[in-house]
Amino acid sequence: MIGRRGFLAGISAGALLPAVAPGPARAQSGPLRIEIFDGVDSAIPIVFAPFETRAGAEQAAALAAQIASVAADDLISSGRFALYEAAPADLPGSSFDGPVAYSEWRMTEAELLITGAVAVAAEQVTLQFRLFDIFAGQPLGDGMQLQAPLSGWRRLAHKLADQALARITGEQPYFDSRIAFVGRSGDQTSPQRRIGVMDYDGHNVKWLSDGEHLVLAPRISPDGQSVMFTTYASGVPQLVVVDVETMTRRQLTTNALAMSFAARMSADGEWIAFSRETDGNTDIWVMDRGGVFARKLTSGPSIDTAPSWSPDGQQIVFESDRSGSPQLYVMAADGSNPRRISFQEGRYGAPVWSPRGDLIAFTRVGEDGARIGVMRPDGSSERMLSTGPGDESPSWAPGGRMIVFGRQVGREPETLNFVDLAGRTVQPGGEGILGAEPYWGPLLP
Amino acid sequence: MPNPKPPALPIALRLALSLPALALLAACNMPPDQRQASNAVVDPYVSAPGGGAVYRGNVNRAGSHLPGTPAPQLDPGPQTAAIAQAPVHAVAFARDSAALTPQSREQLAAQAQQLLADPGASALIEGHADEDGTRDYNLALGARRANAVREYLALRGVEQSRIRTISYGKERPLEACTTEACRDLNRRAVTTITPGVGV
Repeated sequence: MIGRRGFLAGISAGALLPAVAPGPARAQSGPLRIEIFDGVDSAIPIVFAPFETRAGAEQAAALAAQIASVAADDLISSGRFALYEAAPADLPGSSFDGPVAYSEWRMTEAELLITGAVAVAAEQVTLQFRLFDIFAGQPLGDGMQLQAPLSGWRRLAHKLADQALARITGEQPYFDSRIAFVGRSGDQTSPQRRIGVMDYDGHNVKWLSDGEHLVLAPRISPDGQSVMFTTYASGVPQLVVVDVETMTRRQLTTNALAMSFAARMSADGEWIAFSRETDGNTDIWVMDRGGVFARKLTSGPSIDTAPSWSPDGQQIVFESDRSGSPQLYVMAADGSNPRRISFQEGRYGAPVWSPRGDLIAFTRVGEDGARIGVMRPDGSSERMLSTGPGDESPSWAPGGRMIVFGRQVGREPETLNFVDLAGRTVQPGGEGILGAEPYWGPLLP
Repeated sequence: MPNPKPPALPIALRLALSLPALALLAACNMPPDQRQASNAVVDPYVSAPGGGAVYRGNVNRAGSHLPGTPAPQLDPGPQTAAIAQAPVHAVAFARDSAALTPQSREQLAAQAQQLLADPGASALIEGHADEDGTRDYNLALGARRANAVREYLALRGVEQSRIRTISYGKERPLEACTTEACRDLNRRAVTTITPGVGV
């Protein structure tokens, strides 16, 4: 990723920073102690010291404030943190390279302190940051220095937030990532649709198709460099792959007598499971990523569609109406041993296996409309996460703790919405990002 | 790359649609590939220098709104008009079904007659579904419906090689629906017949 131009602005992960000079010795010091109480789930208070500017005067000062603001938004939108805000004059004094007065910061009741310094020179912005555990009175990991082209400053903020989330919770973060989606202009019956990719919080949209043809189901590749989607450009739905940087497009399926759609790549990027329809019958096929060799995995007159790979590539979950109504099935990657896993009231579809392998997200259509839920791969522990009534197309964030999905209500345009495994609704980047069929891509290097 | 356009409606069918059809065309009730966007394609999110996204859409146009603002309330729209003017060459289906009703079979028998009378003519059958259910399932269901129509036309003597099928699933509804009557009409298979050379 270093040196790539364009939207995936390269970030140079610079050196880790030397520790700040230690303050006066404290009577008590020791490792961070975390106590977990059953059922208690409270937000961790965090505070940002005003970021300093190192070079680039006004531009750096403006960027410093923006970077801190975006990082704060990320952490708060995760639902795990609360922001302690105060005017700079009311915060303890701090200097980026100087010692931290923990006893003064404890007055804010914040548990995590984030300090930073920003420099701008020659169209590049450099961010240095440090994290401090106020509770334990010591640094939380090493400081870091990152550099990016000016146009990529938001990624620096996301990387900062990723470090904070990962160090505090031990979980894989997800803020420096892109989401592919179908954007729509025009009204619902006569839509112009285009494939787009954007930052997870809705910024930096880049369009990958021109709106001339109906397009569906974008999927970012595991390496983040290309997007596969379904297009009606040739008259029949076919799968294509477009390189995000060069915009070159490659056709994956070419059989003009068959519809190819509902495709998903395996986690290692080597295989594509997809649906192919011939003479009215839809089955699941698998092919290599070059589209050279294809093999049918299901057979019979039922509709078998929406395949999704387990992270280890050994199993596929899919949607089938072989029982009489759309339900979820899991089979081995060679098509053997299909078994049904959904059994409650309603019609189940659009399954997506979590990158952690522990859960399958799905859309359930019932009396209460269409809602997003999760269940274990053996069908147990089913619970609904979203409220509906027009929710579908779930996609997992890196780390498998948050889901983005599309919601369409009445005649209004579809919007992207986020929900975490606790059922909390979050709104990164504000409410109502316009878009449908989201696909959450990998964490960017 | 030019957008492949489906064959134009033959004269006979055009006359059948006649005056109401003028309003019909304006209401975007044409085969989907012939629809033109009423406005030029505008990217409402344009990246500004410095990495921000600047909204340049028109909030007063239906379907557009700034992130962070509630969507404007749209008026119910001409649903009843659309119901009254559904294309005569469409057959309807029950929820989740690709079965042809007796009424559908009558309509299709007439289509078969038309195709048999013109040996050079060909047909394109589009299968559609209502908004209920997932996208992929509805694409497959639309294909089932289109294929059911094709099989019936074949039963009436039309060679299968003259009939092409395609599914749009729930992507091209006649109308964005809030009522069951409206959704009933979205579950349809639409036949477009291209006359042979010399007709």
